Amino acid sequence: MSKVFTIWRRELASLFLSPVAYVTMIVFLSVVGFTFWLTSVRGVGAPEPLSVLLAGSIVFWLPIIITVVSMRLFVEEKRSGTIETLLTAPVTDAQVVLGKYCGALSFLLITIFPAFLYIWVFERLSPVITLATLDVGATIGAALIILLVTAQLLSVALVGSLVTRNQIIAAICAFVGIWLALLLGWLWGQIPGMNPVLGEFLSLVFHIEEFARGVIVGNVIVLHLATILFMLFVAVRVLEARRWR
Amino acid sequence: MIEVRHLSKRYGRTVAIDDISFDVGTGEIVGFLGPNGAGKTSTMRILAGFMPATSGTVKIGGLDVFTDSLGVRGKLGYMPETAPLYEDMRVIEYLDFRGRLKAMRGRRLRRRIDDCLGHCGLERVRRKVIRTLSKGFRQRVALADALLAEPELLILDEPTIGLDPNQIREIRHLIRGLANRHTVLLCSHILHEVEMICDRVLIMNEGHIVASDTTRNLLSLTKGGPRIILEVKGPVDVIGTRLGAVSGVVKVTSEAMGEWQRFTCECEPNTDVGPDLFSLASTEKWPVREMRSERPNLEDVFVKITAGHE
Repeated sequence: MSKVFTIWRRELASLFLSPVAYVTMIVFLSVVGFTFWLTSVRGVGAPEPLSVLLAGSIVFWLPIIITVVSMRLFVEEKRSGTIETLLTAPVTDAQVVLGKYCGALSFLLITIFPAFLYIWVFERLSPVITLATLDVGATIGAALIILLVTAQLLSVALVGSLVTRNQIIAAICAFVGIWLALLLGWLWGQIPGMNPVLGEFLSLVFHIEEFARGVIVGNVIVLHLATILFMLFVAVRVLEARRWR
Repeated sequence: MIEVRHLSKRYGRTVAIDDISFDVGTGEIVGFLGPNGAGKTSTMRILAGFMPATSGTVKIGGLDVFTDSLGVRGKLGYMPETAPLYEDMRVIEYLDFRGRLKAMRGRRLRRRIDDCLGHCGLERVRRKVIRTLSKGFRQRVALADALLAEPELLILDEPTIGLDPNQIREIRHLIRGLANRHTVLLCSHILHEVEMICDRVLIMNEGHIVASDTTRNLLSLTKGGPRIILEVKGPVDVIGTRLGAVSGVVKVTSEAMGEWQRFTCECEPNTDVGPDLFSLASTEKWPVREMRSERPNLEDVFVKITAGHE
C-alpha cells in the first residue's frame, strides 16, 4: 500500500507543479459558477433545488476536465520514457494504476469540490434563501453523486491514456468513453424492446438528479463502485498486455 | 547471476534476438557491445523485466524474469539508454521517490541518497529541478537511481553518453569500483571504455551473440601482430625497401607528412621488431621524429566481428 501512496503523492505533486493544473482549476470553477448562475437566474420561481442545478452545472463540464487530467496520465510517461524506469522498479502494475488513479482523482476532487461553496455564496447574495431553508441532505447527496460520477468517469478515461502513446488520441478515447458512460442508460432506453427500468438504473444522468434531490440509493452506490473496480481491472490488464506481446 | 537460454524476441516479422544463450557470473563486469539494431537494448529490456521474450528463459539470481518478475526487479538497478527522469522534480525528491518505490524507508533511504549523491557528484545540484540540469548531470541522476537500492545486478545502457571527459573518467572509476559487490552488465559504444572497465565482453550482431570472451582473448582473435609507426625524413623508396627487409615486418605503407614520411610497418604476431627498426634508422642516420607501437584494440575486434570478416 505504501508504494501506491508513493505513486499517488508523486502524481498529485506533478499535477500541482504544472501551470496547466491552476489554469484548469480557475477555468473550471469559473465556467461552473457561470453555468450555475445562469441556470439559477433562468429558473427563478421553478421548484428546482439549488443542489440539482449545481450538480447539473458541474456534470456539464466534467467530461472536459476529466479528459484534460486523464489524457496525460500514462501518455506522458510513455513519451518521456519514464514508464521504463517505473515498470522496472519492484512495483506491481496494479500499484502503478491505483497510485496514478488516486493521484488524478484527488486532483479532480480538489478542483471540483470548491464549487459547492457557490451554494453558500448564493445564500449570502440572495434575499430569500437562507442556510436554514437549504436542504442539507440534498447537498450531501449532490456531493456524493459528484464524487461517484467523477471517480467512475476517471476510471473509464484512464484506460484511454493506456491504449495509446498520443495525447490527442488518448483525449478522444477518454472523451468518447466518458460520454458513452454518461449516456449508456439513455441509449439503452432508445433500443426497442429493451427493459426501460434497467436503462434508468444504468443512467448516470438520472442518478445525478436523484441524489441531488437527496434520494441516496444504495444499489446505485454499489453500481458505481463495481464499475470503478471493473475499469481499474481493465486498466491493469491493458498495462500488463505489454508482457504478452 | 544471469542465465540466458535460447532467448528470442520478434517484433512482428522482424527478429530482434535470435536464440541467444549466455551466462554472467556474480561480481563480473561484462561489456555488451554491438552495432545499432543488433538487439542489445531489447535484450536489456527483457533482462530488466520491462518486456517479455518471444521464447527462451532468463534467470537472474536463480529467479525467472517472467514468472517472478517482481522478485527479479527487486534485485536489479536498471538505467535505460535515454536516462528518463521526472523533469519537474528536484534531484533529491526524485531519488526519495525512487527509493520508496524500491521499498526503502527512513534512515537507510536517507543514508543511501547521501551516498549516491556523493558517489555520482550530485551534491551541488541536490536541490535543483531536474529540468534545469545539463545532460551530464541527468545521466548521473539516472545512475544514482540505479545504484540507490544497492542492487545485486546493475544493467547500464550507455551510462557515459553525453558526459565530458572528466565525468566519463569519474563514472568509469565508479563502475570499476562496483566490481565484487555488484554484477554489472554495461552496454556502451565507447569501446575504449569497455576495454578499460570490463572483465568480459559479449558482442551481438543481427540478433546473435557473435563473440563472448575475456577482453584479452578477444584481442588475440584479430589476425596480425602489432603495427609500428615511424616518421622519418629521407628517400621514400629506399627507406620503404629497407624497412620491409627487416625480419618480422610483413608489410610497409607510407604516407607523406610534409617533408617527413610516415611509415606503417605491419609486423608478425608475437614479434618485437622495434629495436631492429631503431638500429636500422640509427645506422642509416635517418632523422626520426616519432616511433611508436600500436597494438590491436577492441575496436579492431569489433569491426572485424560485426562486419562478418572473422
